[in-house]
Amino acid sequence: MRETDYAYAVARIRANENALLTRADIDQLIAADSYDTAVRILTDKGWAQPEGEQGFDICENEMSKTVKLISECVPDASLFDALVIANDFANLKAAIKAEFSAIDAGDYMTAPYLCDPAIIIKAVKESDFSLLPDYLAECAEAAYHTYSDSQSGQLIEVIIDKACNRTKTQWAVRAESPLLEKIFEMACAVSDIKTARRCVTTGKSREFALDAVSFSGRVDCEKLVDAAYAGEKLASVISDAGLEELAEYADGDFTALEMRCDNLITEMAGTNRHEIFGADPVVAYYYAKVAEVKNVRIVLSAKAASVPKEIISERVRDTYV
Amino acid sequence: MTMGMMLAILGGVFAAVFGCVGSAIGVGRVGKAAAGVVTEDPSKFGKVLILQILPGTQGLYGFLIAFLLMVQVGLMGDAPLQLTTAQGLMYFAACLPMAAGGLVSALHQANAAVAGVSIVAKRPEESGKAIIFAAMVETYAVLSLLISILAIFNITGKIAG
Repeated sequence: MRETDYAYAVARIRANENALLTRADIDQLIAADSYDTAVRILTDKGWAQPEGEQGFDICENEMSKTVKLISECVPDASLFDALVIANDFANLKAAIKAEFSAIDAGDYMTAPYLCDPAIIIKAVKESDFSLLPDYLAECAEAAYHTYSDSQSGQLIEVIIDKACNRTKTQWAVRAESPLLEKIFEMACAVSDIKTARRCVTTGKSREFALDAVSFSGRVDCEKLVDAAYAGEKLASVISDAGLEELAEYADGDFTALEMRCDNLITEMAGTNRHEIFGADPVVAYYYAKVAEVKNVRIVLSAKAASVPKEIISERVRDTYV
Repeated sequence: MTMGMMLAILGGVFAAVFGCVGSAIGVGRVGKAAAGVVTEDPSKFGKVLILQILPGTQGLYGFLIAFLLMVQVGLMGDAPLQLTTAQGLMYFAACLPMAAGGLVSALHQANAAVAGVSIVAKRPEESGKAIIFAAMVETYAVLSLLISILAIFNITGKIAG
């Protein structure tokens, strides 16, 4: 795929960037005196009217619009696939857990997806994993049998998350987007840091931790696990992987680490603000929208719970514009 | 037909083909970007159309050089010149500035115009600046055209003299 093939997609993205919420817009939302006022501000900015009492539909609707826009304009489906592949793994997790909890998995499926959730549910129900695409089949079978033997939700999380991280990294390369590769590497690093530290705090063995980390990003997972079990700082391992911006948060609390990761992704996306060709501007817009929707969710849920404005301000992520 | 005439014709073909290929790629590239903007906001059609047209001039210049060459060597009339190989090579060389300059400038002008389309998408009130940025590249297509025209006329003058 040539970079210039993205000229149409990038132009559509640029035209849509004007509608992204700025930091001033987010501040206006935070300053709103009630949940309803915040929703009204959003509808004035072009967001759809919420349906019923739960204004959170407004976020889902906005994300669906973004996904629809990207699926319409990208010349190469592999980029869209790489962006949404994680939802298939989330749906697989939900289907396995729902199967063993005897609840309807259909209520827990996430869109957009590549593999029809009905197929995932059927494959899990019938234990026929050949129905699934290759990227799901192997981990689905492993997770299913592990869960039926151990009833451990944590274990299937580990198996599926690891497969998800590997697949995302491979698909990012296939999508020819250096930005997406960097974002996934960052996300993998954060996931591995959290996994290693959780394994230590929950008393899991070192072998379990080594099996749980992804081994698919830039971080040397063996060193990371060793450092976590030796009680050493993880920052140096993260720095060695070239993720200095993340290193100082590696040993702090998870919320700060996740927020730092989100802000770094927005910062990386921002470097593509003036690119005219290639897949990266599309990826940048997608993540700008993800950050925007996350901010709106934070503000709306805080408004619904009457959280003070100062605390909301601390929680919101950086904006793309 | 002499070898000289064949070389002269080849020069004209180069000027027309490379100019037109550059323009076709360029106009197509800007057209894709323009379509993206118009999909979101059809009112910007006029502004992006100007940007799309800009890389199209090189094809026109190439055509002009090829036409001029055919007139000068008598291909449009009843009595074509009996050109020597050296004279044919001179005509061929005279066409090269337009061929190379046309192709390269059309592609780069298209990139500048696509960037201009992004300006129109985000700040339509600045579309004039977007057009100027892309039009600056035109300078080099015009210089290529001029040097090819001057060379063709001077070669004809020398041969006639």
